[in-house]
Amino acid sequence: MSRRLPPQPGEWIQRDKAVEFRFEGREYTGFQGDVLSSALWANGINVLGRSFKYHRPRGIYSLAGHDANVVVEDRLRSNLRGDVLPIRGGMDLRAVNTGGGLAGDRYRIMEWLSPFLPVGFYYKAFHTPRRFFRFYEGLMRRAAGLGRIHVGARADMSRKDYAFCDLLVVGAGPSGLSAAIAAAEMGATVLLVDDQPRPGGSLCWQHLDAPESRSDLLEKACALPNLEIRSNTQAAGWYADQWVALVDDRRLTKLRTRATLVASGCIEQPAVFHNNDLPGVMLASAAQRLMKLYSVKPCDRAVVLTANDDGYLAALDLADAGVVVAAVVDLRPAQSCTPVAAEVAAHGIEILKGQAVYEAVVSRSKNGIAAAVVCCLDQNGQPRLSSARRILCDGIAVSVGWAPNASILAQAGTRFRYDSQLQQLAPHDLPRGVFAAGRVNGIFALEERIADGRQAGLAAVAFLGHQIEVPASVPRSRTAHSHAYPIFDHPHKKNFVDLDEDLQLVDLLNAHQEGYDSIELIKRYSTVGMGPSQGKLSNMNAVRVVARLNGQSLDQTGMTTARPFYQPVSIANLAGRRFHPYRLTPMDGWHRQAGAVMVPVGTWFRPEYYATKEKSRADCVLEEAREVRRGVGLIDISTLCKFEVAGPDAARFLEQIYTGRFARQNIGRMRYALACDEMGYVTEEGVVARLAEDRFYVTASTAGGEAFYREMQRWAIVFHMNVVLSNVTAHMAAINVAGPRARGVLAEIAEVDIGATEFPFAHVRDMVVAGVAAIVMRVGFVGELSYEIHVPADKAAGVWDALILAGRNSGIRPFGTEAQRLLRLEKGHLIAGHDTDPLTTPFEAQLDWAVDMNKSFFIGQRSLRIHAGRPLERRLVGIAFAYGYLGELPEECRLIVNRGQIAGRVTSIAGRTTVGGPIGLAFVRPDLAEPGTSLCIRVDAREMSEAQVVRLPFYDPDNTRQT
Amino acid sequence: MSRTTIQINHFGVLPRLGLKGPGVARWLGVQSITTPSDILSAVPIAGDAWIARLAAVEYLIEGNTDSDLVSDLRGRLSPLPSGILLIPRCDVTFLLAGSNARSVSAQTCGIDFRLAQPQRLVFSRVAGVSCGILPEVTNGLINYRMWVELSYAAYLWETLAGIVTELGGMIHPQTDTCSGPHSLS
Repeated sequence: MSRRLPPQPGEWIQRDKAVEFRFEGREYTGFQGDVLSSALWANGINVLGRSFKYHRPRGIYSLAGHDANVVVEDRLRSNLRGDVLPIRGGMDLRAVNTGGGLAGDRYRIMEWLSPFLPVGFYYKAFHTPRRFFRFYEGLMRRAAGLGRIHVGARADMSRKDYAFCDLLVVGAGPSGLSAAIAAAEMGATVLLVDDQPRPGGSLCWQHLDAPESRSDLLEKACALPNLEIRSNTQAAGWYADQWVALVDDRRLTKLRTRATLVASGCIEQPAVFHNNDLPGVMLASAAQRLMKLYSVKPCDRAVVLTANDDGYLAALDLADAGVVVAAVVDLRPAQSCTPVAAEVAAHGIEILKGQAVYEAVVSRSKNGIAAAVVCCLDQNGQPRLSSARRILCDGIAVSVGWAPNASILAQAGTRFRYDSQLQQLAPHDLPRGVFAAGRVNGIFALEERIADGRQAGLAAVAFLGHQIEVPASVPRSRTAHSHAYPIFDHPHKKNFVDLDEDLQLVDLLNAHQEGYDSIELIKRYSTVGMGPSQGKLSNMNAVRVVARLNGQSLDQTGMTTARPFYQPVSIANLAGRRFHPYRLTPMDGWHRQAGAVMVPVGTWFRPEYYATKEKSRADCVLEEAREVRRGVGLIDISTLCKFEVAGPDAARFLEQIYTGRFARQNIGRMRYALACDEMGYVTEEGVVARLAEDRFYVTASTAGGEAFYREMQRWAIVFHMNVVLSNVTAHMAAINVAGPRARGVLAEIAEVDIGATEFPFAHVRDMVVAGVAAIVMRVGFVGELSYEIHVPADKAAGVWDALILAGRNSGIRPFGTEAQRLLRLEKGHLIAGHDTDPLTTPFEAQLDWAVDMNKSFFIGQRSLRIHAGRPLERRLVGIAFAYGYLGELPEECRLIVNRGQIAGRVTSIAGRTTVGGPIGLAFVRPDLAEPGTSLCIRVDAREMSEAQVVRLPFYDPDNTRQT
Repeated sequence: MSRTTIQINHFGVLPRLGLKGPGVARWLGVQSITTPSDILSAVPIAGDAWIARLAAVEYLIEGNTDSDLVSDLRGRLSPLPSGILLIPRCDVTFLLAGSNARSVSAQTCGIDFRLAQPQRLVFSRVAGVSCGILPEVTNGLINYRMWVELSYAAYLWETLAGIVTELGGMIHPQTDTCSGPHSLS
């Protein structure tokens, strides 16, 4: 059975392009331009989904994505809304949340169990006996919920981009188009977004014969180069400072606008009556969309339930489409009569004033409706059952009111008031730079909406600074377009306030009876408005119910808080393209070619070790370390942070930044530098080399150096010193040549004498190395004769190659970070941030020698004085395991236990070393810090190991190797 | 190249000279180099190069690979005159060109380049990395000259080239023969 109508003016489907797709295992044909819901309805399919809790059959309700009746999935994607899902050839879809398919859904039994599932039942049940919870949990997870996540599916990467405009207009209906045109004509850069595939809003399906038609407005809009229209784009969230998230199917746009104008219209609201959710019951606007956009007949015989003129317009549209309109049931009292009602009457359609649909009668197939039971309303607006009358129909079109589609306005901080003339919330207090127009602003007549749009557009332009005259505001409508209480109780319930959550009127009544009398509480307890539709069709009626139960006005009852997102946004959109910056040293290519196993260190990649065939990682690391001890090795240390500090106050500045002394440091000398924070805790360490009276070259750690530099910049401002800081980390690369043969290797390519006397330990020299101007420092981090060569980054690869070539006869080989860590550990050098934590003082780390408390000031000095006056709580010591130790070694951070109490922790450890057995560094209680003390160190939950405290360093205690 | 497409060029590390200090402007004047009057602006100078004023007393000169200007100036700075600090500058230069170039910046940078003026420097983050960006007009189109620290160059090139490719643009990786941005015009 096909419900497809003959071609309609302005229809969105392309009849020459048939589209074949599958739904629930069966093949169907639709047209390009159809959405899933319209295509299935055109094919005569009534049941398009199952409800969330009771698994009741559901069909088209809003056809605008304002309900969750039609939610489907395919093999890759889940929770696709059928109302807004364009069909494409080859689609293979099925409804979510069924047990065994839509037709034979075995969870239909839930409807029979509904008396045992009252509101909030999940808060009260399943707690005891606890051992059954696993069973309940599995059951609930299977029975409730939406689609499945296809963990194997790989989503297409969606883009993120930035955009800018003077004015964002949300909603491309008559008022939005009018506003955008008015603003763009005044020179503003305007972005107009609409979540529908085509701009025009209700002009596409409701006002096709309007004097200023959709095409007129679009023609004007398209002629303006400074007006951009984005269809299929939702304004998903409004954030501070006019930052708006725009989402379409390809990207998330981060829009920065100077002003926002919301013309997003209204959302038609349901009436609450028995079986108001069954297929065949739909909003009148949905019926009109079906007919006008997709050329599909909603039903054969309809009853229209209304409380405004829109219902009468829908009745006329239905009649035009060949639907027999059995009656228009008007909730309003008999005395009201409008021209459009007269036109309906002229069509011979029966009008039942002051009456309501009390219930929809289920069809024999149980997949639709067979009749509407209509009752007169009493003085309290409730059905008088004695007057009940049964009207045969297979469709009920509901048009009892509208709620503003105002989530963007609310997120922007707009305050609303309930307008009792309109029976609708309307903006009362708009924030600066935010404007509203059209139905969302309480303006309903088409001509007035267009005028209101123009007025708001010009007001926005004036706000942007244009000197223009803004016309007076358009007054709000004086007649109500919504019914004050279109909600009717029924002894057999199933009168749904929230279709997403299967929430009946009785559920709200019960929740209120249990004491949940505020709208925010009742929302959380009953879950009203918490479904995928976020209360678009339920919040307003829920507020009406709560207000009536509390005996309050709607303003007193209030609305729930509006938060992004109002429409579903796919996680793929939110994830999108992500940027993961990484840094490479100039020698990166060389390392990889040489077989280096690269390791991320912060954002950098460094060689951890150089893999050698058939050798383990540990063997490679140990071999690299041994080569440094007995011959010569070189390591790429370009990742070290490097700063220049210059200016008349440079030395004084460093004296205050670091704990040591630098004012009297000789030119050409370098010193260890330790920095603390204001609390006296170690933050950074490095070396300071004096290149000139007013110029220092400073190094800091790879991991912490960048943050430390920012601190230096801050302190330079705080100190008011005449100092110039320059972070040259990326501009200068560095190579460390270390080992007994290092001098010989460097001497081959250095253009100055680097003998022990000419260039002693702890000195720095400007020199030319391999033809490149370099800063060379004599350092001792790995405990051997060692030169740090700092050169411009673009020349570093050449210098590296030259060193490799010069060291060929000396057996030079590169070493990685692991060997470097082992070598420094053997020498007893700590690494700040690794062997210290954010609460380590220099005294605990045995760095007292690097702190000059006699200076007039340095950062942390005052706190260190306090620390110095207190007994130490821990001390960093060397630990050694017995030579030939065969047990499992503890990992770094393992606890040291003494008489059942935690007495410290390991900070560094190495199993295979060049000095014999396993060694490490550890924090221990001061009473355990004496050399020779035995320590019990936890290996894992069961095993303990034993080590002894030893004197540092483990290697070359007399410093003979590095001079 | 069609005027309606995008291309990205990788010029590698071009000769650059960073100078900072109260004596810089006077010294540059002595070298017959006119400095920009506004902070964060750039002007072309003789020798197929240009000079940018980064701060009140900080300047940057960039030449082309076939220009000797930077090395000549560097030679004249030894010994370093007082009031001048040499700032090491080792950045990689990219040029994003074509009428659709803004589509790339829209995906990577939060700056509204509609408002950017030619020869006015912008410092911002591009794809998460700090960059200097100089809009310049070539053949009536605004192109974007970008600098990034050498260590981030591989990442940023990979990212930008990927986006340019997605948008149907052309990629011009670094070659030995590239002679710099002015060869585009």
